Amino acid sequence: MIGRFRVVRQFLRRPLGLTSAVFLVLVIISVALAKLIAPYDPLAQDYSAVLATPNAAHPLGTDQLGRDVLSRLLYGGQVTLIGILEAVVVAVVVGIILGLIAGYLGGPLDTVLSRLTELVMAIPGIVVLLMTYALTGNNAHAGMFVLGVLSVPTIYRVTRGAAAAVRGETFISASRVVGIGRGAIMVRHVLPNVWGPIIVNTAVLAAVTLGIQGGLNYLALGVNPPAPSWGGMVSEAQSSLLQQPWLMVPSGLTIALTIVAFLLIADALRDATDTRSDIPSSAPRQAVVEDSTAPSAAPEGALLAVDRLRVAFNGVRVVQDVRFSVAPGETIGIVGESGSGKTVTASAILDSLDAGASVTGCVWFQGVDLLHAPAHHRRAARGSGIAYISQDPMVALDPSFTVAGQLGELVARHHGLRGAARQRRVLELLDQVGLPDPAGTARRYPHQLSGGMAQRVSIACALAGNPKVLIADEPTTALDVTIQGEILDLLRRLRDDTGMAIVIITHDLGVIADIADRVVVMYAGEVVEQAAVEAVFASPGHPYTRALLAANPIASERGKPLMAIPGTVPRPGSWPTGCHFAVRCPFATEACSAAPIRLEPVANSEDHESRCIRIDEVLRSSRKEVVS
Amino acid sequence: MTATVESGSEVLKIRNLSVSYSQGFGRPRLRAVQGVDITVGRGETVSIVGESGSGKSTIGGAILGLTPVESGSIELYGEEIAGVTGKGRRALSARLQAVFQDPFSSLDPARTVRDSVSEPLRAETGLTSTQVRERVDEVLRRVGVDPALASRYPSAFSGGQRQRISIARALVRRPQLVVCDEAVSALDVSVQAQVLNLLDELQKEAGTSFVFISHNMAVVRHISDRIVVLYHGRIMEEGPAEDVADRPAHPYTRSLLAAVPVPEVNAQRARRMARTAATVRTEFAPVDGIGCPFAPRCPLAEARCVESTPPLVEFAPGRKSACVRINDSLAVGHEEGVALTTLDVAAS
Repeated sequence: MIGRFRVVRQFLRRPLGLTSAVFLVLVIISVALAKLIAPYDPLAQDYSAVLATPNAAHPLGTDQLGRDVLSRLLYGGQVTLIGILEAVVVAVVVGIILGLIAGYLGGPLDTVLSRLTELVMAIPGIVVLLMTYALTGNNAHAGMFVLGVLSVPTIYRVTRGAAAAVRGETFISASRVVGIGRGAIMVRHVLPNVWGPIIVNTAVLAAVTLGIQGGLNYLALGVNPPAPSWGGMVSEAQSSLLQQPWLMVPSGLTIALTIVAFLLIADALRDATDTRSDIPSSAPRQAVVEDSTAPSAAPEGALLAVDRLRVAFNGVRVVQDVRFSVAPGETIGIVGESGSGKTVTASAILDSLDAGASVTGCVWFQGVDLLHAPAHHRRAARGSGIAYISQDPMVALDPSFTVAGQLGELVARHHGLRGAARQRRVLELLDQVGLPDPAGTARRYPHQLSGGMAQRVSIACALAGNPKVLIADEPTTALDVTIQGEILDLLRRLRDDTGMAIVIITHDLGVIADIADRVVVMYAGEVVEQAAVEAVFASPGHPYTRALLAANPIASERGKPLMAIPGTVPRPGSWPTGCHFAVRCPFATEACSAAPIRLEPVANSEDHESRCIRIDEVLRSSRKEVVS
Repeated sequence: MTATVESGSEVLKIRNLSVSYSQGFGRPRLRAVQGVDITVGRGETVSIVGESGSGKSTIGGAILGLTPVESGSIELYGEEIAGVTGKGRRALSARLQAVFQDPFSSLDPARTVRDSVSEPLRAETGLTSTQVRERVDEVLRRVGVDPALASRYPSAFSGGQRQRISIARALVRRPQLVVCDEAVSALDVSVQAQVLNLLDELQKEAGTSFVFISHNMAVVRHISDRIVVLYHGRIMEEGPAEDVADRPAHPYTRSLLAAVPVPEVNAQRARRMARTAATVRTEFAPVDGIGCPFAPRCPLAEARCVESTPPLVEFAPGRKSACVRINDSLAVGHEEGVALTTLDVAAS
């Protein structure tokens, strides 16, 4: 969401919108000051100077009765702008109130209001307007009021939609618990969160209203000639179009420019209230691979190896110096808290980083550096060599196709199977992931699956290409703990049956202990420790790993405080020069913050690395001394 | 830490609470909570633990007036609060507050932190703006957020800081009961520990009672005085935290504990065996809501489990279980080693 002043700042940065706003303000000021600045009375006729082109006496010329066009534009603008204001205020006030009530309260009231507004939209507006003018003696205000009422649905629908989306937010519940009334909640919490789209639509509405009003005035509705109005002036210009075409320019151009100004303002407001607008539009659509690293050799025996991987978003480094390798049939666990860079690392391997990301380093897969390989090679590897499952299995499943449909498509793409052979393979895969009724599951749509079943189906999708490596990003985080166990058992069995390697990304050290052979511990974008799973738990070689283990309430002594890690993870862009964990670390000395720390082997151990220069002290200390 | 609540010191008394949801025309109502009794004493933390669909959050919603109560009573200091809305809720908010799960949606993004934290005080009359300011500063300082940052919007804070701010909002009126609905579930372990410690300190200082709703057995075991285990809207087991977490009596509690993966390789391997052994699909299932809801997954299930719904029985002082095979279940429990105390992670 957006703070109030951010939108203003964003708006001011857009030249077209800003220019339009300045233009509109100038129009409004000069129209408001018509009495002071208009050179003539708008009705004063001068037969000695009819249909004049612009000259010193009449800057915009005169019309067929010799009236000064500039003066008439200025006075006519008053009718026009006040009319727009009336119509827009009616539409916005009524639309917001009804929209908030319908969107926030919902229920039968919502149904009634929505049907009513649909009714209003179905009524031919021009007929109602004509009747209004006929019944009120061509009253301009009555006409604009009715036009406002006819425009209520525009604002109502935007407000209702936005309010209904906010209704489910927890902060609304929090206010209800405090006993804040519905009205107050709507004004204080719903409205400030929905006004973005309302403002945009109000600007569009103003433009549309100006167009309609111009048309009505052209027909001499809502204005009584010879009183000036912009639409009326177009009408007058048209009657002498052949004698003096110039006359069409001032009124026509004013209307056109004002409408364009409203629309450009709406456009700029839309961009300014859009939170995604921070991404520079010039950013490449694909992540960029920079070639600054000298290519290393493919590591022997490794199926997948990441070397000196570094990822930056828009120049801000989020992952650096990540290295690990995975052997066939091995399970690597990448563990870390939010902001550690574990998911970015997986995305870099999968080539699925967002726009604005730049990647350096190497990702070796079966002896080929995927980051620097030709595109078709990368696609082939990522299509069937490396598969992926995510925390939310629904992301992988298309809601509009059955399980059989989407799994069948994958089977067809990977193996070229058709007809009965394809169906057989689909059922085989569903059986392989332990679904009790493969045929029944195959006929279902994703929304008919429970969370655990959906994750099994997404694993079946991943298995369709017989992958060598499965990257599982928090595969059990969204599931109940009893289902988590079943999914972990399934992954373990699939690894043993198919010999594929697994890279599992998790924040839960318990999941690591359950399934991983080796562990990569990440903190603030770096690998801080890497070891066999037994070593990590038996003698953790980095203060962060120790602190993470100690903070776990799982084996805490009841009644005593948990050993929390003070402070927070430093955000990307504000990483310290030296050890990223130093400020929170009880072992830290000045040397820790002086220079970057390297990931180095822990003494007396072949396959254990730690990014800590105080490793000896850490290993000597008791595990309980993790927090100062 | 009192296992039994003396009469008169009861802060919250829920009796025979039932809540059901409409599932649309022609479909039976979903029974989210069925006949639940829960009592919370002064300064006590009672946890309601269960998986998704257990009805734990529905109970929290019923206490807070966010969910309509179908039948039963909810008393706060002897005063009926079930179904109280509007002005009555506003009066209650001096004594009853809540902390919710998602630190990113529980604060209004369009309001400053000071606005959000001072909101509960709006219901309290007779406070000058200076007093409100002082109270907000004081409570923010207490939860570890610099009051100088209070004019910022929630987007400027991390998840852990936002949850501290949510706690500050809940505590600014010094309530007697706080409902924490998955209040630490979205936080990283290291930040979660900070927040759990904070809740514990605040409780010791002010004698606040907590209803702590969570799916996480490890967290619940640490923070609770008593634990209520919920499954399919019914209480399966209830008792002092150390008993329920370390000596579970109900097969469901045991399967819930066995499923928690522990950060220790050998211990986890043993637990995995126990977990696999306990994972069964039986032929027994409750019909028309009668019978034990866990029977379809229970390793001890037999025909009588679904003949009638097992009542929640006190089998030892302060300990209740809704299992007709309670003695067999207790016997199994001693052999399995699913309790989290079998771990020695924190020791050097």
